[in-house]
Amino acid sequence: MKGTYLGEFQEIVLLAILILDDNAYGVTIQEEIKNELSRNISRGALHTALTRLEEKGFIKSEVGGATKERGGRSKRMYAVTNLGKDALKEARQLREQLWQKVPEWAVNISYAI
Amino acid sequence: MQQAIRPPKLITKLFQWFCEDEYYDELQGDLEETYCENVNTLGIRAANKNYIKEVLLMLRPSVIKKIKTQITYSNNSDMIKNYLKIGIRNILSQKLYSFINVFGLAVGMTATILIVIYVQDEMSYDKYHEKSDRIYRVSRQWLNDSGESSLHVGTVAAPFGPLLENDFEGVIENAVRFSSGEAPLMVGGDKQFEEARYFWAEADIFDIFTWKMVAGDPKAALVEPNTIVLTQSTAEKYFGNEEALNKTITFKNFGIEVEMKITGIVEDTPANSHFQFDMLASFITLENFMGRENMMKDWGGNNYSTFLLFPEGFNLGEFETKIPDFIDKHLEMRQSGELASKTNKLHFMPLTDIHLYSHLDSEIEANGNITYVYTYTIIALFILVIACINFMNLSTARSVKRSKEVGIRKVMGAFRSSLINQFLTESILVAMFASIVALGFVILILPWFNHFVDKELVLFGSNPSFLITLIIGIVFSVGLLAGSYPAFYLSSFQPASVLKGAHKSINSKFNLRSALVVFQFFISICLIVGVGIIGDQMDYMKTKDLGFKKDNMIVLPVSDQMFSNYKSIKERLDQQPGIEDVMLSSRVPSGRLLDSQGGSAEVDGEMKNITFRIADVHTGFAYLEALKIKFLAGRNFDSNLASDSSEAFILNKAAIERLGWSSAEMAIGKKFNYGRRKGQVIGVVDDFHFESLHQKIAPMVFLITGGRSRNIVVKVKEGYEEATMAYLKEQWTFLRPGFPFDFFTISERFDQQYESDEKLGKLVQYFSMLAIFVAILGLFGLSSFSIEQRLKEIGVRKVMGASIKSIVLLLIKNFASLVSIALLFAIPVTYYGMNTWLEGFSYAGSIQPWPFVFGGLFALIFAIITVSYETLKAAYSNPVDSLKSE
Repeated sequence: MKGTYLGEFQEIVLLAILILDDNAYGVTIQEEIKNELSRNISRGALHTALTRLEEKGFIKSEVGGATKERGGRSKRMYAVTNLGKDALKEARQLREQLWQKVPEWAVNISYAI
Repeated sequence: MQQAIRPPKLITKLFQWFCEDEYYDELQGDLEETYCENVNTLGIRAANKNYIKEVLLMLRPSVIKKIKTQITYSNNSDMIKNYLKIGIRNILSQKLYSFINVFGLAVGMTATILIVIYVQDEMSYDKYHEKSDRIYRVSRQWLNDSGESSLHVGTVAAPFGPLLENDFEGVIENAVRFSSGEAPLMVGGDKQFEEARYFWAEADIFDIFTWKMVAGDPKAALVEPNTIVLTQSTAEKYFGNEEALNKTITFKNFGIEVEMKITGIVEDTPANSHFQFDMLASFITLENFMGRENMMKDWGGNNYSTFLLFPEGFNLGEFETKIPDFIDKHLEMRQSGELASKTNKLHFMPLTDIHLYSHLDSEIEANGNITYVYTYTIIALFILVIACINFMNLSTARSVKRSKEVGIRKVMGAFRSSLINQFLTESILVAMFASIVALGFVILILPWFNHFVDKELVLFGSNPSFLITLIIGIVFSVGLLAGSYPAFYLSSFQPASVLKGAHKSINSKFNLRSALVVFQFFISICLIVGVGIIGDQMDYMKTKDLGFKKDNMIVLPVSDQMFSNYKSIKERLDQQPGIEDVMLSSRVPSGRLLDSQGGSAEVDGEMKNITFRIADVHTGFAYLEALKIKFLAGRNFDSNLASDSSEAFILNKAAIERLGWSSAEMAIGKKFNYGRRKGQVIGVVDDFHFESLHQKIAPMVFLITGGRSRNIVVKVKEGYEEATMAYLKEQWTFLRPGFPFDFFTISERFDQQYESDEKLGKLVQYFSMLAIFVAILGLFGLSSFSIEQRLKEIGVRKVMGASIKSIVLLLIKNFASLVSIALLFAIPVTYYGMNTWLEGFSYAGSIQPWPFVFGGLFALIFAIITVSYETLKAAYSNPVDSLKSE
């Protein structure tokens, strides 16, 4: 199911939106990712991810308020849809399922003696 | 309130330009918000840097604008496709109309393209020299005492070049002289040729002229005596593929034989040079032959083409004002005590003007003629205009038929602009087809045209971009011009009234279309009448009584050895049964009279200096008799009188009149001195045309040659021509070994003088035929349309009892009157124009009425024949057919 596949970056973006709750728009998402993961992402890259997510129906957006710093331009506020939440949960579940199958010794870091 | 800090405007603009509008607001807002924060935390520089980076990273498919058409649907490209499709369908459905248009226009364009190629070539002469704008040629003019020009030559005496360079140091940068002698015999390798394009040239020549040297040093090539530079093809002619540089080639002339070292090979002179050479030998060699001192004193031997190179920013006018002083300084005062500058003038002509504007006596090569360039251009434009008029007329005539189409289109919702586009597309399409056909025509005709104008023109030659632009320009301007009337006029129709049929005919008494037809025929008639008058003048020149018999006179070249044993040669030739007479002569009829000397004559009992130029002909005893020249008084030279060869003069009537002797009889026995000879006048001959009819009959004096005249004239008996020619050829190959047998007959040469006039006549003839053909083509199309429009009227007339004759007359009357109006305009214009042309001849026939009558009738008859086909068809048609509908 290629259409509903959730890429790693897209997953991060979705999570960031959830964390930000009702203050999720371009700048805050960018900052959140930077703060939490120390990953510098460009606004352009974020835009691509957001468009994809919206196309898939994982997020929805609406035009929000404008501030002076923005040169009077309005924000686009993002929120995760139920479909998006499902996708997140499914991704997490899949991952945990896999984790459980991994033998404990396999992840023990071994040192060459 | 503090102004919010904004990111760099230019970057923002860029972003706005490539960003999809839908996202721009939010994205830019986000970017600016980040920017503001960055300014506060990191400072403005880092913020700017970051901003630029962010914007550049926005260059991704999800952000960049989608191509417009995908967003807002536009039908432009579909409409253009539609215009083209409808246009092509219209062209195909109206085959006759399209043929007339395309063919007519193609003919016009062909003429234009040919002439443009020709004119481009004529204008390009000598421009390839890098310093061409600073190079001037010196020419010398003599004035007689009344200030009239008696002679103007393009070559000047040897001292002028060096003296000018010396006296005007700083004003003149450089000066060079060329001289072309009689063609010497050159022997190189195992070959020998007579080189007509052999020049002596000074060492600086390559500094002034841009002739590219392929081998050798241009600075040193012509410095030493006995050195020579060859063109590539000449070198090949003698030495094949071998390296010619540093080989020797032998010069044989004037009984001199010199070995010359080849010190340079230059590229062949471009065809667009006012003169071309095959060999350039160092001038110093010539100076050694003749003695430099002698040369610098010889003001009479005006054989040297002299060119001056001026420095940048020169002032020619100021330089010219100093020339009279220069002349007085160097030229001796005349016997009468007058300053030399009064009768001697120097002229300076830009190098690049020589080809088209210089028509002096003794040019290096015959030049082109600017009036011919103008004439050709005007005629070509005329044909193009006639073809354009056809196009416009037919489009407008047809437009009536298309008014219904316009109405329907409008009803269906067509904008006016799209109708305009439709019509313009159609006419541009036609013009485009025509240009393609025209290019085909040009390719076909060019070889013939080249032969005709004696050039090697190619379609896209030196400056192809100009021609291409011109063709595209013609296509669009003709297309727009011809298409504009239907485009703007038809598209303005009100659909309701058009569909009701109110616009059926636009038949006012006088309209643009009739005016244009008048104009077409005006031009055609002018050309036809012009051809007639040119033909008349040609006949006049060829048949005019020249005052002497030019038949059976053969002129042969003389070599040095032949002078020494001329007597025995003459005796041998005289015994030949086919030869009537043999004589030496300095000049023969059909050439120019370029030699003259000063003299004096006995007028009113005292010797007076001759104040005008009397041209001389040094000749043999039998000359005047062989030419059957009429004597007015006195006698011919007598070989039995020893004194005749040193003190007898025969003058022509023009000379007598200028001298002021009241009659020919009075002149006999008068004392006469000419050059170094003293003697008396023994005879007077009637005026005859020694030179071409372009020239006025000049005052002339005949005297017995001293024996070194350059031509041998042989008078052949009638009926013996062939045998005698064979004999002469055999003799000459024996007498001048190595030289080709080179002869001409006087009557041939006389006709050759009118070659360029004849060519003009021919070209005008061809072009005028084209013009009238195109005009008639147009008339045919126009008449068929206008008659078609009047079919109903004809039907009604027939029903009412009109006879076929009256209907035919009614229809033809209209067109015939247009042609008659054209004729009325054409008569005075042609008369005036051709009169101006005839003034260029000193002897011209008068303008006869017949060319006008013929031209007018020709146009009228052809117009009527053209129109009558459609007319008769209409007149004989059954009225039922035209009246049953509607």
